[in-house]
Amino acid sequence: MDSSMTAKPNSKNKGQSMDVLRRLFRSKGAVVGLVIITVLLIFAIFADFIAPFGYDDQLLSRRLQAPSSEHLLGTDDYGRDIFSRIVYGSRTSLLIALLSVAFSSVIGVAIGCIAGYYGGRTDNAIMRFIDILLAIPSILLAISISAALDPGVINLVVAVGIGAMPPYARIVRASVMSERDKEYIEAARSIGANDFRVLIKHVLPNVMAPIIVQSTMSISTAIITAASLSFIGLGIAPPTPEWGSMLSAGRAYIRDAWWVVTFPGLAIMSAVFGFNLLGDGLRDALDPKLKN
Amino acid sequence: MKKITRLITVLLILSMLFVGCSSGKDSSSSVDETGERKLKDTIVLAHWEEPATLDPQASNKVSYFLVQEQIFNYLVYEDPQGNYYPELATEWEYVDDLTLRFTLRDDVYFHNGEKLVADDVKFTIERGTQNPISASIFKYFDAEGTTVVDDHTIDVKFKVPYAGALNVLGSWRGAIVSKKAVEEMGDAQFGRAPIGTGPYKFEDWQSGSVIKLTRNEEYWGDKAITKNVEYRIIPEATNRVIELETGGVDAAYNISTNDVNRIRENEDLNLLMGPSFRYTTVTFSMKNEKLQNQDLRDALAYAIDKQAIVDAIYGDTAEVAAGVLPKNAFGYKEFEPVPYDVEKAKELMVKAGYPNGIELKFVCEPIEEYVRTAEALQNMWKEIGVTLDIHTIENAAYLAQGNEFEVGFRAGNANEPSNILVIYDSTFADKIQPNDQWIDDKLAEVASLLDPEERTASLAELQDYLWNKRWTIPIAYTNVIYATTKNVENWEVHPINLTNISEVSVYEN
Amino acid sequence: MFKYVLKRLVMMIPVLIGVSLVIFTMVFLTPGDAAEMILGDLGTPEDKALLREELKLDEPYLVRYIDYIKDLVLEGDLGTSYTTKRPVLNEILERFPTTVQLAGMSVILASVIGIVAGIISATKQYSIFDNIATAVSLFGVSMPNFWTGLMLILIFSVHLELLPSSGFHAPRYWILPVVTLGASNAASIMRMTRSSMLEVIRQDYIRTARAKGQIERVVIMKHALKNASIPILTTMGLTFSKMLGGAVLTESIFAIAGIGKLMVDAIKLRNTPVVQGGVIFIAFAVSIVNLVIDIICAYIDPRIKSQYVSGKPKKKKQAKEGVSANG
Repeated sequence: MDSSMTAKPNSKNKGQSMDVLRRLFRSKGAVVGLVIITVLLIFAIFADFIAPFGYDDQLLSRRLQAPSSEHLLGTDDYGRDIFSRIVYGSRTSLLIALLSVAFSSVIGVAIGCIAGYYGGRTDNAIMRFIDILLAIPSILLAISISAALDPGVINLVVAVGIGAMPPYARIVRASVMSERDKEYIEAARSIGANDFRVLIKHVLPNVMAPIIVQSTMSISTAIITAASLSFIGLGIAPPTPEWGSMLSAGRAYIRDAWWVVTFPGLAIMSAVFGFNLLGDGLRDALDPKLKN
Repeated sequence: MKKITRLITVLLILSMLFVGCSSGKDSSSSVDETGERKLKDTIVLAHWEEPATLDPQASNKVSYFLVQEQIFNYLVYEDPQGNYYPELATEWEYVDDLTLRFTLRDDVYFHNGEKLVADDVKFTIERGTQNPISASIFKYFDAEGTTVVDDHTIDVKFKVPYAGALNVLGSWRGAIVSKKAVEEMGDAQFGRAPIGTGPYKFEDWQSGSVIKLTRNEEYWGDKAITKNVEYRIIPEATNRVIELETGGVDAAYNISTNDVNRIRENEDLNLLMGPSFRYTTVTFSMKNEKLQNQDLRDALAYAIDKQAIVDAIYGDTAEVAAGVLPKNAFGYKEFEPVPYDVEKAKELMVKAGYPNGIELKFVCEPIEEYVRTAEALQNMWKEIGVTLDIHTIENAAYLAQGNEFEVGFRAGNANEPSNILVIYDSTFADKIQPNDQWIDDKLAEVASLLDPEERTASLAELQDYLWNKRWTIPIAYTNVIYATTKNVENWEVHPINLTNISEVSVYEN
Repeated sequence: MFKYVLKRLVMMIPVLIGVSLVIFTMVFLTPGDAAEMILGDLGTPEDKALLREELKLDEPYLVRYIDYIKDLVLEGDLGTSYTTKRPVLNEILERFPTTVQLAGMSVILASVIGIVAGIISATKQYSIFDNIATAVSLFGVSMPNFWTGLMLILIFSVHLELLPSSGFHAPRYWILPVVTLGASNAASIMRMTRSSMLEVIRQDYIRTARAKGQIERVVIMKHALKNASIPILTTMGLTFSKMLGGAVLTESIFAIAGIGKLMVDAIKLRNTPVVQGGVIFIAFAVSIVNLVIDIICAYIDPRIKSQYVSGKPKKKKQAKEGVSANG
């Protein structure tokens, strides 16, 4: 009986997701976005094979060389190959962005579910807490958190993640509230499914769409925030390549070596651009009514 | 349509509000077409850091003192070579080993119109011994015993015979403040609108952006050439130079090495460079068991190509450090820098018991110069199997964990030997911590020896000891670097950035 | 309306107290000791102990927080800066106008460009202009602010030597920072305007108006823009309030003495009172700005006012989520 109850929405979901994918691939922007992201992922995964030099191969005799056939994007002040560092840097940036989005979405969704599902005082308490987080500009929040923690990937993930968490909580809460009283939930509850099961099996699948869109969009925000933190010196320790800290280190050479500040920024921009395109595409595909 | 009009109204009101917020005006001065070079009445300087206060006894950074230098006077003037000349005091003499008598000028007035008297000097010394920020510098001063003989005579007392007395009174925290002004304004306000006796008066301070001074027309000495001084706060070194190039400022402090060549090539700019008291050194924590091993420290020293580091990071703006003290310091003794010898270093690694290498933790502030040195060290030490794990933390966190890390980096900038060598003292809770009684005693001795020759001898012994211990590996003596436009003349290349602006002239373009 | 405003103001108090608790805890957990920081190398351990006592650094967490909140609520006192020994509120108020000016000018620039481009894009959907504008705006929201700033310095200060790169004290100095901060926000306002306009244009009454033969421009101005103005205005307001604390990077690139720079410097120096006070102040300012936006919206569209008076205001969620966190 239980299985027949869940089977129905699931099969409907499957058909829906095919639709969504078809619509997604029809959008030129989303495809471009996907291509950019794929390239970045390939960079990140196969960095050891793609990068012509190691990320920390210093050779002071070739410092600050302009782009050439040997060094596609030039070299930095230690004579390190910028292209290689950008390739390796995609690892750091994507890792931080994806982890922090995972962090903020899991916590945000959990909080939002609880608030929306139980309502009342729980909801009130949680939403006041969210209000508090929202009242502090997210970049300031991230800066204070990352100052409070030692620099490092995990702490940067937490710093970026907490600031990005409130929107999930709000979106999920609203969606859960509207689903909560629908008949199929009532039915599941009436046959004795516990709250956790109802939330995971029934409520969550129906609020997935906005979560997916929000996640894709917030990857771009996370990339920028993480790079910003590294830029002001609260991010990753050297010599690990990170796009934001490459920019900040290159700042001193802006007058003599334009390539040192230009290319890491372009890397950040294309990553963000890719995720924005995909996010736009996904939003339109998931909710055709919104498509303009 | 009405709503649109309302929306537009709102927008208009807002835009007027924001533009109204601004008060600044671009003060481009008119040019006199007589052919004669005309003096400008304002000099704009690019400063690297905003002072937290302009209260001399509450200050501990050069960035504060270089502004205060224009506003205050000292009892004696100390030139960069360490010679003393009369300033507010016309003469001074040791009454006994513990008493130094100063006779003050009779014609000096503070910017608030009060006359300078011996009471102000006593008050200044009292403040010095009380404020936590200057207490350690004034620790040998006996403020209570210091007596005002008459309005123009004061007997300054010391707890022990103290060689550094004139240095303290002749620099930085020894600047004489107005007792009446401090008591009227309170410490915090005084630090924000200081009253001194110097060639410039404090005029205005826009937090985080600019500090303005104006000529003291009643100055007792030579009056300032340029009427107004503006210190603009521009923390980024590159931006200071860009401002200089685009004409926003007339001179810039603390030029970064990588901007040096550009400035040299620019016909409109002057590069001014000279020796400083600044030196950089690698430090080893003696609390760390691994680093207590002298063979390891020697191995690390042999594995550093200091010349390569200096070339890469400083170009021709620094030289390889060849001593424990900075080159210009009193009693400086030159040593032969440890040669770069990887084979020798490898042998020493084996001898030290680390044939397969070792992992060390390096902690420094995220300052470009430090990080670049760290990364170069990391690369060089790789050759002898040393894995250097670099961590950068902001100064605060860094100071807090003072004893936890292993290898560190330090840039010192002091001219008094006792102050330079204090890093080896047991009471100094940072980085090295040898806890060596011999050093502590020797440091106390150096501080108290009045006779220059005895002092030099004692310092030489101390330097030999420290050089051989290799708790530190001195890397570079860096130059002080300024840049000005061609219109700026008479800029003294002061080793610690304390150029006297009242002597500087700026001409119209 | 007055009642509503009052209610909102009262509701701000628990949020601000919550903000103070969050930031106080965060700063408390931050490693580093202000006494070490202030005295630096040359301070003896005794000096440091003395200063630590003066600053009450050794008191337990709760005692310090309660003291802090007592001073804040009873006297509006945000404490004293460790470094300058001046009241934190003074320091903030000196810096705040600069940030307000920077943020304000940037929002206006962003709005003018964003709204105009958005309207044209929406009315000429799928035209060349629309395609280009949409693409440019996508690039715009993807550019990290600090990079835009560096590129502008590279072009206009270093190579063309046209505009200064540091400071904010004269009109010439405004241009680069305002463009930097405005650019990405122009893009997001453009996207918002375009989609709100499109939503409105599709609605029946616009078709009716068109069918009745009204001139296109009139239709757009009179009907469409009017109804799209609320989400646009909300986006503008949120962009502005976000910039109050989020202009940190722009301020640090152009050496602008705004509140963001004050905060970052204070965090680096462990100047705890300034960090706490700054965050609370910004949170307060952001809440006030949001309230003002709601009031302006009510002024423009009386329908919203009736909602307030009758009960709960409708949240403009879509707009809130559309603002990028680009600082």
